[in-house]
Amino acid sequence: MQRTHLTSKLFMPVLLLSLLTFGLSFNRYVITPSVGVNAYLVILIGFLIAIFSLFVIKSLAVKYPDQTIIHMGNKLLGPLGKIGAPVWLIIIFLLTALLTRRVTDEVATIILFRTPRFVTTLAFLLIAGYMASLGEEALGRLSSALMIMVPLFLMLLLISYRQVNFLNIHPVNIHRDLGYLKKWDLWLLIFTPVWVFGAFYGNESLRNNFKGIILTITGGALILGATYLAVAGAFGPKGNIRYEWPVMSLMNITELAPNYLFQNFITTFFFLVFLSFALVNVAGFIIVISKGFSEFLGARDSRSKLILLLIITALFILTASTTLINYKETADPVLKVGGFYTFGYVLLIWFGSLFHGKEQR
Amino acid sequence: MSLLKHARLGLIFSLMLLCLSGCWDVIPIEDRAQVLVIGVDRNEGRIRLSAQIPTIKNLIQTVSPFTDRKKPIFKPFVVEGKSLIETMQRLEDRIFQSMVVGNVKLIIISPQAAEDDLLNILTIFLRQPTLSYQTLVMCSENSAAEIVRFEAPFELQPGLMIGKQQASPLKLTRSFPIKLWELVARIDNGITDPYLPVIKPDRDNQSYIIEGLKLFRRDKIVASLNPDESYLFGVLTGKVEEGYKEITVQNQEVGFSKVRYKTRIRIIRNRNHDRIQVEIKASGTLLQIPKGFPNRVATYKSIKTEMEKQLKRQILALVKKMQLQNTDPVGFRKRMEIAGIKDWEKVYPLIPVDIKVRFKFRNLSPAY
Repeated sequence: MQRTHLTSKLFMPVLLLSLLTFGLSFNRYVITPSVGVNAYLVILIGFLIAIFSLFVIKSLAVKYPDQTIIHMGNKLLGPLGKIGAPVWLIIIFLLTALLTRRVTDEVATIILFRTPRFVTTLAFLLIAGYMASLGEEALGRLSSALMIMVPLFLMLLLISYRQVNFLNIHPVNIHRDLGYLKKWDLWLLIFTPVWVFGAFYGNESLRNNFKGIILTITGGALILGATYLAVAGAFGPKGNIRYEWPVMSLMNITELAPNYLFQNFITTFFFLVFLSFALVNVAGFIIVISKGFSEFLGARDSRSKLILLLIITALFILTASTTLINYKETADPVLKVGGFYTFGYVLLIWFGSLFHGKEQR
Repeated sequence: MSLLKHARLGLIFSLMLLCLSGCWDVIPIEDRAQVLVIGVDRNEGRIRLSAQIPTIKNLIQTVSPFTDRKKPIFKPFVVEGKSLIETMQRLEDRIFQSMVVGNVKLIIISPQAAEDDLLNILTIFLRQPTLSYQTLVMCSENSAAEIVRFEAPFELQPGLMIGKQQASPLKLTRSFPIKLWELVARIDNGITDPYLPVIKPDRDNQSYIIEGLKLFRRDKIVASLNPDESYLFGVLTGKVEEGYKEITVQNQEVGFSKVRYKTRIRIIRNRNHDRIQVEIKASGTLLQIPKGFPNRVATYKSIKTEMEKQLKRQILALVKKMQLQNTDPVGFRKRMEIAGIKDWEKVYPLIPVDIKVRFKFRNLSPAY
């Protein structure tokens, strides 16, 4: 039996910051240009699926208290679990690499454009790796401290609404262009951290503070919905696909005051907020991957740091060695598969649990 | 020390080394050419790029002893080439300092350059890593290089000064700023057209005149607005914050100050009779009252009636002008699209326009 050291008070900040990181990084306006101006509405569908899946994970947590998802998969799915779990861990690894690439690309393009990209990637992964080496409890405490960034981000978002032309997001678009409903899976992937962390760390929290977690996810989804509404409103339906990082671009056009001193103030502040969130998310995923593989391989605790180091090395090699074309070709398929597989695998384990009895503590 | 402590120290040391390694290409500020204003002209198919590079000691004029008043506050450079990128490279070749375009505050484009491939020019700047999307864009009356070369003897760099002038709320009456991102977004979306404020040197007063607008249909110039028409454009779009307004009553000029406008644009749909309805609520205080206008209610009534009539006529004339040129920087087409008019692009030039103006006196003047 393995106990997580994340209480619900430490778990919720990790969940929220990771959800915001995924949402701010993998915005569909760029990855799916045909999405149109109503894309922000589809977050609702992803949100509802995420809530349903949390109920699923909670029922697993109640049935198998203090059991990891890897253990549940092996026990309930048999050979399927023995294949499914490492595949899932590999997918989480790829998502981590994609997230690292996305964040470091942004830093390398906007801030450190004269620094070789591998240096930025290395620095980012070293910091995230160090955070991961301290364990999930330390990560939870750090996330709690970083929660101050959330209201700061909300403040930036509120100020950015001054740039919004409300004619661009007029409600007539909602019923006039229902094609966005066909793209219901667009934002599914941004809830992937919810399923991953819920499955790996959420056992205790889901049992003891389910309402708090639902509220956390609701808050995160609302913030992301408001962010994409602002992006669509400011740049317009065709204008927003021009920008590689629409949220960063939204911050770039936001004026704090009509003074040159403040011209890049909000962008700089946003970078600070975004990088903090991203480090928490990546560190959390690294912990999940290293603990997952450790458990899957049956490695002793003394080997876990070695596995962590190997994962960081592999992440660095994958992130630093892929070309821009490789990245652009593989990003969307991997993100889609990641979202669907994570949700599907959790659902599969739950179906398996329906045929088994409740495990005694 | 334990292995973990060694590892942590090693990590901190590695990160410090990584940070220090960033200093390999450090360039002191006096070796940087911080371009504040860029001008783009087109001359017989070639691009002419002009750049205003401040003298570092006089980057921001102050009363400090380091300011060198004998030196000019900036040095202009002008180069020509086949393309914008070629001219940027040529400019780099002519300056001993390392050119930094990321701090450009103002981009001035000549009408000839704006006629051909404007979007390409703008997006090259938009893609500069550190260039702010809030950079202002203007159109010169003749040559952009003329504006870049012109030195107005102010205490501040012209690029910064012009930006301050454009951003100052009470000066927004005969020209209105537009930022780089908004200009590009309007061209990309293709419904509400962009515009550019016009700038020209004022040699008599050694300053700049920013008045008038150039109107575009997507990324091509199609019309110009004189200062009075620009004012009316500001009334339609709500950009005029407070200004003066003159009308003619009984062949004499009557003037108002602190004039404010609240404009509402609606699309009225009525089977086959769609129309644009513009409702303007104006208010102002009498400032100029000619002889022969006694201080009576009848005077106020007649002035109010004339203001409403003349403003209506002027606004209608402006809207007709824009319809004739098939340009819409106000947002009529967007509203038509929202109202459900399918062929808004074809319908716009011909759709009837109703203007309603209501004027009220804000305050009494302290003296009549």
